[in-house]
Amino acid sequence: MSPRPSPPEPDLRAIFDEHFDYVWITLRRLGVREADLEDLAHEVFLKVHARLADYDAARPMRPWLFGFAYRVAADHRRLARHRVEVLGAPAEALDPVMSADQRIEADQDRELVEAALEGIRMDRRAVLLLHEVDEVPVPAIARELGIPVNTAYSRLRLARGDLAAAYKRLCKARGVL
Amino acid sequence: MKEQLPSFDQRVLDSLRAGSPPPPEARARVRARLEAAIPAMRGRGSRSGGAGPGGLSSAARALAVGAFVAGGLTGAAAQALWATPPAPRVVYVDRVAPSLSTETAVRAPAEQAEPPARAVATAARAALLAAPTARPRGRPDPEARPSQLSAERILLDDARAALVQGEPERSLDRLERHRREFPGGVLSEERDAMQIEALARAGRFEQARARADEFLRRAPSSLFRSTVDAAMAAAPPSPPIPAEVHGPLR
Repeated sequence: MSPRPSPPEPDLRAIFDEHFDYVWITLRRLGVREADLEDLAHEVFLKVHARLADYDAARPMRPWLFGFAYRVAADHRRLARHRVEVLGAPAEALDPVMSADQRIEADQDRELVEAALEGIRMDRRAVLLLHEVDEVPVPAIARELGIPVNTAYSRLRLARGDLAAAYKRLCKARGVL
Repeated sequence: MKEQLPSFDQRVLDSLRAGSPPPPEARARVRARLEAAIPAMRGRGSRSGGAGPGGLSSAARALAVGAFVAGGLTGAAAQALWATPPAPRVVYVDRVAPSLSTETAVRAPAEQAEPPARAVATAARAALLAAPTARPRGRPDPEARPSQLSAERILLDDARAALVQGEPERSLDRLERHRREFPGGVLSEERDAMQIEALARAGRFEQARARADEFLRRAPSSLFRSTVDAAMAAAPPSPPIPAEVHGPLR
């Protein structure tokens, strides 16, 4: 029996295989707790599946996926009043060539940054992550998030200031100056 | 004056980018749940070149995933019975959001259609530039490898702030510096579009028009096309240049 021709719309399995890690890490950066990551990643891909026909193949996939992750994470935060806590990732998930001291430092550094991120409003954090981490141009961010370009610039600037201030404060509080 | 690069920015971004990947069993569990819910997720062979177990039939694949999950559950049950579970490592952190509101230096009243004024840009910038003193002990010196994107962003933020503050010549100065330091930079398209806008606001319409023509030839579908179009829409029609007028346009 000859295989069917590929469907015109993107293949969900291929998207999952290629971008699951990205969705997972993005959800974590958006403040989702470790214990909730599986459920929310599942929810993201369910929503992606429902909207596959809307995907414009001329646009990059990751900003599109980020939009789903952002909305799922934002809804989750609205529905649940979470304690502000950061669950440490398992040590074995870190670079295996790092020494124990380096692992501890890298772990502490990431916790500090994640904690600092936690203090940034979700709408600003989304712009910050998309631009500074995923290197998406600001106009493309504005398009994906459905906001004016100037608002995206404004949020980026404010988020960077927020992050700098929060990080500095946390460093002081923990005596890691 | 040589500008100091924001090493804080670099270290923080490195930490952000170094997000640890999900454990493989989490990926397998989510995939199994999706396969149960969405028929399109069930493979029919090895068409996909992704991280999944390509080459297996869908039944074998489902069986493999099922066995994997069942094995995991069995192991977890055994672990729960015979081992003392380690205390989850939970790090409680200060809730920083409320206190941020007291630091009004970096907060604008609201996101506005136009970027906020000099005070906000300056404060945000100052926070970034001041933060290197907060480097945790024992960290490698991030100034040894500054992030190009961050450095580019700083220059363009300055240029944009100058533009908003009605100082297009200062904006052009920053943009020219970006052009010199990052001729093929990540943000070069944004720089070129902003330069056209700044030239138009400075009244240097001929230069703006020439740059706009070149920009649109080079990148007709650019995300910044609307910026260029808007800048040129505000420019007066091209005047005829009298032959007796000499000297270069600035």
